[in-house]
Amino acid sequence: MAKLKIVSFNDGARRFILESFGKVVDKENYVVEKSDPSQRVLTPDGDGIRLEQFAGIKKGSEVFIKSDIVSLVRLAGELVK
Amino acid sequence: MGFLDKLSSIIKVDLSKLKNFKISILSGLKFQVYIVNNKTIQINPDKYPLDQQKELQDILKEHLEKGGLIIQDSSLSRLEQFNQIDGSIQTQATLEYFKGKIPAQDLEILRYSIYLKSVFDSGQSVTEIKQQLNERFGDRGRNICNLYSEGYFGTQIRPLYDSLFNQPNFSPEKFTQIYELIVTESPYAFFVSRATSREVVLSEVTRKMETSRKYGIKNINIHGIGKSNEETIYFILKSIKDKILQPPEILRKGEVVVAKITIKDNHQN
Repeated sequence: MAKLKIVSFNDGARRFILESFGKVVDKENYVVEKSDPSQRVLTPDGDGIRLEQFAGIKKGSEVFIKSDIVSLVRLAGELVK
Repeated sequence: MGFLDKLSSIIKVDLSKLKNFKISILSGLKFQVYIVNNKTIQINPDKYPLDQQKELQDILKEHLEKGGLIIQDSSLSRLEQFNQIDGSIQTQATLEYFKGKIPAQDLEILRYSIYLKSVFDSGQSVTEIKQQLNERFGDRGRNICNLYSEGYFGTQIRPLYDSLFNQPNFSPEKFTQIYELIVTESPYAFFVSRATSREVVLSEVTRKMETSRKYGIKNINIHGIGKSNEETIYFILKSIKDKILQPPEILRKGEVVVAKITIKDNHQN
């Protein structure tokens, strides 16, 4: 049976991916809620995410991941094994 | 209709015959959809009408709700590289040895230090990873990374634990006390950074010599990578020549230079 393991995306598709989850990018290049642009999307560490730092999303409810190595390993390391 | 059936109908590709596959969303390219080795379906959303783009986005949401991961290409490659290094027998043996002996956060830093050294040894740039670790873990992280990169976990810290462990009055606190000194003060080693001026480096080396002398440590290794750091090392050696036994031993391995100095006692001329 067909099984989809991972969806990856290139840098150019960042906005498309974010839009799927109701997020857009504000003037300062931070990822924000489309329904309330004053509300920045935060990582589990409580940091805002700039578009160029956005590395992905995982379930739980929706966990947004930054592209630094520690965030990647802590949040997604097990999922790509 | 399952979300893979929906996807099949949008991209006009029968996905039912594939086993484990990956979807790669590639914006800005010329094609609409492309299949690589029956394992990766590359989809360019820009080439679909808006209503189908919306359907593709709904499929992504469904994938995530089912526990799937959505990840940027280069981050995925980095994670795969990390997992490969992290899962090796040598890495696991090192981490297993230090588990419970050093603080949990230091063990995590050590894990990234092993990765960083392996990437460096393979000839790739580690500047970005190093910067990320410094931002995350501060001076302690930088020290642990430097100490691991230059072999001190194998040549100093592990033998130290083993030697203390074999003493009859061994207590883990005894090791922790010395370990703390090593990771906060690095009394055996100094790491020259391109970001710091020669004068500041000189003052830091002089301060380190004083600290090391205080702990009865006479030998310090001054490490540097690359031509400009090597020049800084020679500037330091010239400036402190009256305070060290001559001549200092210089070791070279590729771009890495290590000057091994021995601090003179106060009574030595």
